[in-house]
Amino acid sequence: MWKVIGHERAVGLLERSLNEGRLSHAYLFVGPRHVGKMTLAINLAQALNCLGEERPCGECSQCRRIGEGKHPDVQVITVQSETKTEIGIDQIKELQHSSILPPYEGRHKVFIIEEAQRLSDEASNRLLKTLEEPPPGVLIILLAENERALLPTILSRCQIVELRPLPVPLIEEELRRKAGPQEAETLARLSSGCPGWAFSALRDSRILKERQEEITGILEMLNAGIVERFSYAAELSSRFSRSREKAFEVLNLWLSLWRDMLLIKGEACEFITNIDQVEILERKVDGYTIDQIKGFIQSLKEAWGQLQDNANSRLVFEVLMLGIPEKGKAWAM
Amino acid sequence: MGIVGRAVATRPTLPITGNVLLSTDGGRLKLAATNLEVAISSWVGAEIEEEGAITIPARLLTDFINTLPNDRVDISLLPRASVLELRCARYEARISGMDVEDFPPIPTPTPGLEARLDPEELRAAISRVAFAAATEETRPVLTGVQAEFEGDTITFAAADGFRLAVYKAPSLSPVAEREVVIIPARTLGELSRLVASEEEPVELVINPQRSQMLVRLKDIELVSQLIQGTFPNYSQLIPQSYGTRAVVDASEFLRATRTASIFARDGSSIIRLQITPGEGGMAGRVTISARAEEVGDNIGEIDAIVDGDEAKIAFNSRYLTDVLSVLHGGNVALEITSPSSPGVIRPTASDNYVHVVMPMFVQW
Amino acid sequence: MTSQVFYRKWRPQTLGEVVGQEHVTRTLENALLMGRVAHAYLFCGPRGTGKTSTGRILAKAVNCLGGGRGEPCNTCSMCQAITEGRALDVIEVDAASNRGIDEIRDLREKVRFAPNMARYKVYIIDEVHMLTEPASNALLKTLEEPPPYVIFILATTAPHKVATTILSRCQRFDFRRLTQDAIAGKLEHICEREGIRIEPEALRLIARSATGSLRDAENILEQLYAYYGTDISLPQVRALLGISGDPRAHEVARYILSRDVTAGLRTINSVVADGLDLRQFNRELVEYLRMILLVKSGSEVAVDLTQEELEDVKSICATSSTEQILKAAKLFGGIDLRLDSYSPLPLELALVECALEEGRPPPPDAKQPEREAPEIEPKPIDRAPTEGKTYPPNVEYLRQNWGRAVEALRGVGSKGNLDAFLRNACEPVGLEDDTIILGFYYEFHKEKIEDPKYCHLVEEKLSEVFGQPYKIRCTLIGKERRPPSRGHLVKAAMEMGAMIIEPEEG
Repeated sequence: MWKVIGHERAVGLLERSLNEGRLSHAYLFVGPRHVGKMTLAINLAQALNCLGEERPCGECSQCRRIGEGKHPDVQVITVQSETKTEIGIDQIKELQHSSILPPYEGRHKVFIIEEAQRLSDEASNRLLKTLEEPPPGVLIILLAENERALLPTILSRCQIVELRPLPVPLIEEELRRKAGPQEAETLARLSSGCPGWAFSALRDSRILKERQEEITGILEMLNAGIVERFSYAAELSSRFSRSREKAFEVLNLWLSLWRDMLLIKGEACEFITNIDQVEILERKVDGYTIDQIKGFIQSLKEAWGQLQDNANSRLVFEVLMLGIPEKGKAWAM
Repeated sequence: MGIVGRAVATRPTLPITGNVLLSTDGGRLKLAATNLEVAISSWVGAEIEEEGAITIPARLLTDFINTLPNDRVDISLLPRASVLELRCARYEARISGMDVEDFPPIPTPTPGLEARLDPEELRAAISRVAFAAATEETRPVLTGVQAEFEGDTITFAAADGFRLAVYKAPSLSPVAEREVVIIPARTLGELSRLVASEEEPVELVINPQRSQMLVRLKDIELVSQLIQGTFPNYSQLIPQSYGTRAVVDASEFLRATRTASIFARDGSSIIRLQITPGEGGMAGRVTISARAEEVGDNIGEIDAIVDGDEAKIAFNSRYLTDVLSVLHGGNVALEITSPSSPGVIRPTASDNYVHVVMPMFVQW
Repeated sequence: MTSQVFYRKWRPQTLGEVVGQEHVTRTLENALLMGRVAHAYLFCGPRGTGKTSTGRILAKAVNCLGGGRGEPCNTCSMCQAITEGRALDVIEVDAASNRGIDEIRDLREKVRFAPNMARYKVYIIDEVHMLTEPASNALLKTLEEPPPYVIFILATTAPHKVATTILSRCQRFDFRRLTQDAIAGKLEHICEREGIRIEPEALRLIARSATGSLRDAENILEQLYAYYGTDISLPQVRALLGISGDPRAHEVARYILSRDVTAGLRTINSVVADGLDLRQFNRELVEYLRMILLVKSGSEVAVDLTQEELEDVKSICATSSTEQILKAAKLFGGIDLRLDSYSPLPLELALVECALEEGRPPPPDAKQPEREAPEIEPKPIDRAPTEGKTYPPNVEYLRQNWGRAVEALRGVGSKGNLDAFLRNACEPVGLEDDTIILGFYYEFHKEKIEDPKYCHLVEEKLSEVFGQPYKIRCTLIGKERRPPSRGHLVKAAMEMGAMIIEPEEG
């Protein structure tokens, strides 16, 4: 039983290759966060080592321990600690050393390189040879959000399998096994097609709570005075210096809410992401022109770009806050 | 713990491999550890009151035991919680463990090939061959030592592209069919420590897939993963004839080489050998020289029984000292054909060891 | 589990098998036949064009035990060892991960060792342009006086980054991007041998998408084989390459030009919901817009459309202006989905932009420059205000043109966003001789601009915009004096020609 939700094409491809003994030695799974890349990679590793009839059975000792990350022949290579930003060359050297030895107890050694875009240049290049001609029985799976962030020489040595966001109804259906209809619908929509997020949010109520707090903060800013906005900008900027990722998440939430407002204004309400906020958003939209909304989304994207380019985050956020359009003062159409 | 501790993973990819597995086994206590490349199990005599098993952090256990007085240790597994309690004299400790279920099973290779070997021979084979294995992983098979089982001989060979070492050891149990495996040099390093004081014949068991090898000693078992791949056909590398042969005293040769290497530290560690046959009943000689540009040079000379014409050749000093240091004296023969063909070094006392060194290109 | 992938399985083993690089292989073969092999080669060219493969073949040819000159025999033990990558004397070095001086020094020392079994020790150094400068100097020394038994084959995808001193020591060969025919030919060969049935049209499509890299093309074929087995159809190839042919691309184009935002948003989102590749969708959309533009400009012959499709396009043309179509094509064509290919937001924004900008009522005074016309030089003197305000400028004039002055500050300042900073921060409140008095709503902004660094920049730009030297003085007027509306709205309004006559009092 393949545990991964959706992605029939990808699963079909792998299953077929597996059954026909035509599995490639290197794969790259590309797709947004939480879309199911790791789940699929683990599943594939299980299928390769499964002792059961219908591979992967998910129940034999091999499948079980691979699933729990406790199998000696299935290694996940990832950025080693919070302080590091790259997967270093030493990690690849270790991979290479380990790859020349036969599996410890399974049938195949599987190396999963998570966030492959974080491979340092040296590490990527070091990996090339192994990626092109790994020892027999070794499978290397790279995971990345965007193939453009990888060296072309890496790409051309992998079979690329794209995992696109899933249809929302499919995620909803899966969620219904564990959640009420209301919750399932909301989470499915909020996940933007990435089931991993929805299931994490289902398990950990803090995720939704934190999101709600952020949203409240954002919505407050729309009517806030300049002092509040500046202090919000200052806070965001200090969060940015602590964790860029977190600050970008907040910025994403801004974008997502404003995009919803754009859709509401454009009378395409059925496609909005944040359905739990629909009423409040509908109220907020009143008084903005669609041009204002579009303009501010562009400012948000500009801010995003500037932050990526290491602009002074404080200034970027301040300018952004000053740029929030004023309601109801639009010039007459 | 000193024994199995060597197989504990230092930077484990699987956290539990930093642990050691303690279990009762047929009236003895079994300790086992694995770094997924080498697994070592060891048995110690114990009075078993109740069966049980647990894995606990190896470092902690080792450090604790090392501080204990030489006295009887009581080990007990606390009920329900996975905690190991140790009592010794007036000390006691409790160490939290992890589930045995999650510990990678210590492999038990099914016999595909079995051989027995005198421990002295194994020690000699490892010391004379393993150092010639490659340390870089660009060519994985070269980081291992090839063991070839044929008839009543086991041939160990290692090469790194610049030198080759071959040792033939007699097997105590002849095999019917020729078999070849590649053992990681690191494994042999561990093994040489374990067999240091072994007197009984050592048993080797290799599984039918040729992917694992078990080495059975008294109270100790080592299981190693074997390197997959094809070892280069090294026999082509050993020259079948020579133009010049010089027999010298190994210790003297080593001393002269070491002296020269001081001057060879710069400039690729090159030392030059010149072999001159003796004339009119006089002994021949080998001069060993090195020069460091703008620093100085040195020339040493040793006596030799020379067969053939005058000849010269250049070597990397380290490769020469490496091989001469493991021969522990006696006479060695140096055989060369031309300045650009491989040089051969073999002890004259026996014909079970051959060492080939690639010469270096120099302007004479 | 695994079988060899195509690019490994069908790697050329003789010079004759190397596809599309005849100018290289023929020269090399001649050199081999005449026994005139150089000591250093440099193979340049894009990835997947056969550099390393040719290097390995050359290594075999010079070391082949088969006795013949020219091509390697591929059957002797030496050839086989090299093919399998286990020959001790053929050393492949990846310069990208061994780029330092230490690694190259190490290599230099090892070069001095005679070959183990082969006649020649062959070093294949990949991505040689990645070497650091000291490392490439160290390599140069070895290239200058190589031992007689060594052949260097340097390969690079970026020859312009290779030190000229190295270039001059090597015999250089340029590998070309493979032509589509060459790629299709090789693919056909593979298909024949693998028993894959596929139309020539489909092979051409694969060849086209591989942009000259054989390895990329072989990978696509591999993937098709993995997905569909031995019978591969054209639609399957299209599907894999993401060429959807989805009719909704045409629909969206129609909505863009009829300024139907709602229908446009809905259609784009339905495409997303169906999990289609947005990059491809947008490519098709832009392609369609381009066709509409061609038809609109009278180049019907240039487009390849059925009569029916042409009618459709014509009906769209009838209701849209050339400017409108051009703008849409530009906007959608400029969308970059490479970094986030899953969010439809860029398409949605472009849609809104297309629908709205032109859909506005004509502004009361259309002579003011528009934002989208940066080509118009910011010389306000030439476009004196229409309401009879005359030069020399007064405060009123400055106020009216303030928006443009601010706009001119775009790209100025350390972050290049001084314009954004000033836009809502102040207004001109007075003019004393050549000094413009700027009234700030907040202390924060005032302080920033009073910083000589910024002050200077602003003065410079203002002088430029207003055509004579100006100084500025900052004063605080408090936030109650802020204009009634601000932000993008003011900007937009001012661009459309609106002006702030009098700030609304609290």
